[in-house]
Amino acid sequence: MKKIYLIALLLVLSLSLYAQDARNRTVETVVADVLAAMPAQTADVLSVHMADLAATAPQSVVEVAKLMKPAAAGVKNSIYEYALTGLVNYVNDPQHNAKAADVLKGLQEAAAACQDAVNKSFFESLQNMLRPYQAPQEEPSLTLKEAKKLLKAGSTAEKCLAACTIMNEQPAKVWKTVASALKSNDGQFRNSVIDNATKVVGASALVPLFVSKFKKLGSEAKADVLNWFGDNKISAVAGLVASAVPEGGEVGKAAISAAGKIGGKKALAALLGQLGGENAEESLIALKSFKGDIQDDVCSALANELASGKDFSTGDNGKLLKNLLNLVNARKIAKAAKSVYSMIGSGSQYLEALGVNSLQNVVGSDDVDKVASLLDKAAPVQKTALQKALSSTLHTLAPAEQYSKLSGIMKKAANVANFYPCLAATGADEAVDDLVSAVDAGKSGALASLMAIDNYKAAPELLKIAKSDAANAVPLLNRYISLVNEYETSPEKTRYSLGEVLSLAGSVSDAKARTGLKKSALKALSAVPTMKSFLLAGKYLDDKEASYDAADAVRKIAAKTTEEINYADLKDNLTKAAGIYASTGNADDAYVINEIDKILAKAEPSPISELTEEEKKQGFEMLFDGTNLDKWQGDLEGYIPMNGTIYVSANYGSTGNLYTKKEYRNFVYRFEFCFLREGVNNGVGIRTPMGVDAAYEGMCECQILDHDAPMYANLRDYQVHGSAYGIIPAKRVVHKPLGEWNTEEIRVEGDRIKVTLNGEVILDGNLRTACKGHNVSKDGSKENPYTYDHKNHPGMFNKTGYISFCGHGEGLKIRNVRVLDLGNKK
Amino acid sequence: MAQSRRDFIKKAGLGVAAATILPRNVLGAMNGDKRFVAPSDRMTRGIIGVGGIGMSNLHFVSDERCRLVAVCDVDKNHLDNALAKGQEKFGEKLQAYTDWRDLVRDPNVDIVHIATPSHWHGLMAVEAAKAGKDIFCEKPMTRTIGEGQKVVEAVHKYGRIFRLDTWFRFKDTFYGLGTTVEPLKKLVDSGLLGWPLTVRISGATGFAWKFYWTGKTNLEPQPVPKELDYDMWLGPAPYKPYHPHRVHSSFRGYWDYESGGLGDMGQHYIDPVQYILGKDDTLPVKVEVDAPQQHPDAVGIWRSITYTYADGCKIILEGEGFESEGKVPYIEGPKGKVYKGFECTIPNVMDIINQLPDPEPRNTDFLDCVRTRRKFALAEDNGHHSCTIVNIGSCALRLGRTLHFDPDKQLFIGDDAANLLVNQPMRAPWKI
Repeated sequence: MKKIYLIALLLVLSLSLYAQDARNRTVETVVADVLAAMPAQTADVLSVHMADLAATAPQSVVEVAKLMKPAAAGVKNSIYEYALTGLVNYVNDPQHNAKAADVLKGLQEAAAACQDAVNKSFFESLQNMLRPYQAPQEEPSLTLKEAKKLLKAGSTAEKCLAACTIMNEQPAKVWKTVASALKSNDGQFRNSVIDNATKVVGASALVPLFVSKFKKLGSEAKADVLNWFGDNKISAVAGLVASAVPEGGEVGKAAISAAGKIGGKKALAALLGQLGGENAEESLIALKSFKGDIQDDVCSALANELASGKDFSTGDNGKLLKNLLNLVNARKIAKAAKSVYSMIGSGSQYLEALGVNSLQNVVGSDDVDKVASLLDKAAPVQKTALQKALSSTLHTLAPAEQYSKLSGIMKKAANVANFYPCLAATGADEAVDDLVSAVDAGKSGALASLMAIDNYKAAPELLKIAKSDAANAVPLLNRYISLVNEYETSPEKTRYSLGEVLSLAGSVSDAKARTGLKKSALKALSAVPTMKSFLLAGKYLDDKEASYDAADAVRKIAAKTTEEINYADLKDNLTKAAGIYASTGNADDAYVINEIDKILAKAEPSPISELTEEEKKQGFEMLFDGTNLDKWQGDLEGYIPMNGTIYVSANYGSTGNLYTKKEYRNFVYRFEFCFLREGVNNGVGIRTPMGVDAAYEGMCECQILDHDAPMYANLRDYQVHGSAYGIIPAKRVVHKPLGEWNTEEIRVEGDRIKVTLNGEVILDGNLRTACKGHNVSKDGSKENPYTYDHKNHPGMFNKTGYISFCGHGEGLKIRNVRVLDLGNKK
Repeated sequence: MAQSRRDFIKKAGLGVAAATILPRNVLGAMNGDKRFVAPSDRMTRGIIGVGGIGMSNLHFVSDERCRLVAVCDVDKNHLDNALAKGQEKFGEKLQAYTDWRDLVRDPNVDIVHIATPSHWHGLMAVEAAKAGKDIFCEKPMTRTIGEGQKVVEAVHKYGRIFRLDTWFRFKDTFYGLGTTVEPLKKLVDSGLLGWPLTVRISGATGFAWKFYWTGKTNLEPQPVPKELDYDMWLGPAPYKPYHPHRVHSSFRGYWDYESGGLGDMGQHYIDPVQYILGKDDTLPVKVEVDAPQQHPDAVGIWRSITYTYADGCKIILEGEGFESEGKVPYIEGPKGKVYKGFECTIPNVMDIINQLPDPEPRNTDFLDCVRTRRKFALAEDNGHHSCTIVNIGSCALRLGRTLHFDPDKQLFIGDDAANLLVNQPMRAPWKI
């Protein structure tokens, strides 16, 4: 003790006063406290600790540095590295830099004392972080003399550099340099000079030069200049650009692109004029992105073209018309409706087809009836386009009106089936109903529309049909998955739905379709971070068709879920998944394996329950030791092993029960249970057959109930925990708090049942005596005055039966279940 | 083109390697090299780094327009694999290099494809530019903001065409977002969502941050495998004892080389946002981080990174496992929200969007850009900007504090420590 005191004293004396902080901790203590917090989880925590470390610098720095060892197996330097870097960053913050000099001093001492090259360079790099920032020195650029020389004899890149240097140094020479570059055949040089000149003097200063030289330029240079006009949006040259638009080849292309970017009336006219020419494609692109209102110009061009009297169907005659319509379609030019309708009514098959195709892009809210009548008598090739047109007119109505308007039309229609896709497009609930009845009535085309409708109400219908319609099962299930994906908000329902798809997928005979279905279902499942979806995905890890997707799913779920997953399942599934990733050999997958290792490193193996020495001597048998439910049968989905416990999610009813595999007559049954939430309800069925209500069909059901929950304040006495339900009430005692384990023993011998909870006997009685031998009413009626709940208990005198857990919802955990079979005495 | 490809190759080769000023056909004949038999209007390409993305079927290709002629790696196994694959796929022997500087100087290579870990990107791109090569660079563009500035400068000075390899700003639906950028751009440009906007890049909006790209601390030094030139693998990075986890497929977990999932995915995700918000010429002015303390060497996880632009627009990155609960919009403005899959709170939004002009067309054919010398849609300038956002984030993570940034100077304001991360020294003899 004296020695430590002495060191502390020495520190205080030999070093400055701030070697101890306000709490009178020594430097060593400060360092230890800081190191214990590394790495800090938030910026605030970091600040607090770094302030301590800074206050005690330079000693603190030296102390931390001394702890660092040369890297080797088992050496863990990282917390010191966190601390020292954190400190340097902290004092480097302008708000906290008062101690920067001391930190630097500490680092210098540490580096001087350090023998290990790696650690030493670490201290040195931290010192570098403490020097004030200075911009790096610029490399000396070329001298003008060198530049002039290179401009004549250098490589292309060197000539570019030379010209750039000259222009930077002598901006007055920019125009001369550009003028001579424009004459060069070297496109790299030409464009580089133009580019750099623009940077030096700005675009507008170069425009007069380009305009004056333009006519005499070679075609490549012309294209460069036109591109430059466009990139810099030089509106002053709109006329020049427009006049170059009709030129062919690269010059024309560049002019078109520039005209599109510069915009204006002249450009628009020039571009529209090109829609029938050599560069029509480029013009169309330019017009699609042309800024401003182009409707009137396009419409008059279209009207003129239609009035030209050409035979559009021969040769290239229709090119301009088609491209004008392409533009109408792309920009939804509603004003073109008049021309479009005139084409439909023209009597020319060629024009009619084009018109019908464009109709969807020009119709408005007044067109519903007109389009509907066209659709009703549409030729097969026109149907799709007219359906789209009708849908787009309907969409201009309020959502509620769309269905009513359409169903009115359909009532009068001759070809109802023509309207199914429009019905689907309304997305209305009623539309789902109509389409389902149409499918049921065997109407052709109805199924495709039912699959297209964007309404979750269609999902269960699709699943139902998929189960009976093998030919369409694959597209139906794929659509089902996408609807569930989009609309289902409950993770449990999503998992259930995807489980249905996965099991149906197994019977799809086409391998590609089957694989595709499984993959999509597993992909969707991977976004459902629940324990049950983890187990479901795990089932497909051995399925060669979908193993990679299953691996992805289990990994993503395990990383994301907040639910508990049984260790053995977690380990099995993730280990399998890691193996699947390893077999791909790709880099991302190698990282995924690291991620899996991290998840597994955090998980703890399940505890295993064992019989006590005394129980072993007495002959108890372990029914559930935490690892598996091999000795059980019944609802193995609702009762699953979970890290040493049985996790119960089973619902009330005869299917939500877990039964022993063996039947018992007289026995001692011991188990532990805990409630995870308030009001949990379950029960132990005694001498019960399977698939029935143990409280009546079994000897009795020994209630498991969190009767401490406020909702059970007015509970009937024969319902409290431990009661032989409806027959003998138990003593109402208080359970351990939620999440803590209760121990229970149920002893059954002959007609006698004795229940001990947490060491206290809460029920001890003879069932036959309690009902005076009348387990059922004498007269066969439902009312039985002899039993406590006045109900019949036909199973009460069963000689033997299973022991069960009777599920009544989630929230119960059970562990360490043992039984002593007392045989058939009595 | 008046200038033939041969002329342009000759010119490119001239000043760089005086010893090899020979027409390609002569060179080819001398070496018996079949590379020059094919019609010479095809461009040629060399890949540096053939252990990862460089070997992918996306990049390890030769076609009508561009031939793969050379590969380079510091791992002999990688190089052998690449040569075998070249033989198998194209039936020819690729030129193999172990020193990337030789590939960059190879007069027969027109385009240098940089597919190394990112601590090399800046240096290689600058040297390739100096050597007169056009550049195809994998993301993230550079490991530091300063290196990015150097690349931009060199590409401009030497008249090069540069492409950064992420593409969501002009094609594909990016990852889980379920929509291409185009309708988002139109929607934002229309002003229907109002202004300023907040963009949330999160698992909740369809993005994955690859959080498993984290480093390990307390590594025990291991002997360097024979096939690996570790010194050349490290290059400009600080010398640290070898451990297999530091290199090859797991290097992203170390700050010396990259910045974990943020570095790997950040530019993919942030670059389209710069485009959507119309911010290609600027940068955020503030970055805030919520994260556990980061180790100086090993990249760790983070909860969120929030960038704020001068006009109040924000980009919020939410770390894996720390996503907002419930239904979260990808873009949120004062007047509307848009969710993944282009689900929007504005009624009949598609009808409105369809009537708007398309976004301005961009040059998305890299080889065509090389031919016509036009800027690629994602080139050095906008590429450097989106990469800078990634790097601002990693600076703030490493320091664990809020940083303020000056988009014009591209330096942090009032924080020398942060600025030291803008320009990090390179290990001698490497210098950018």
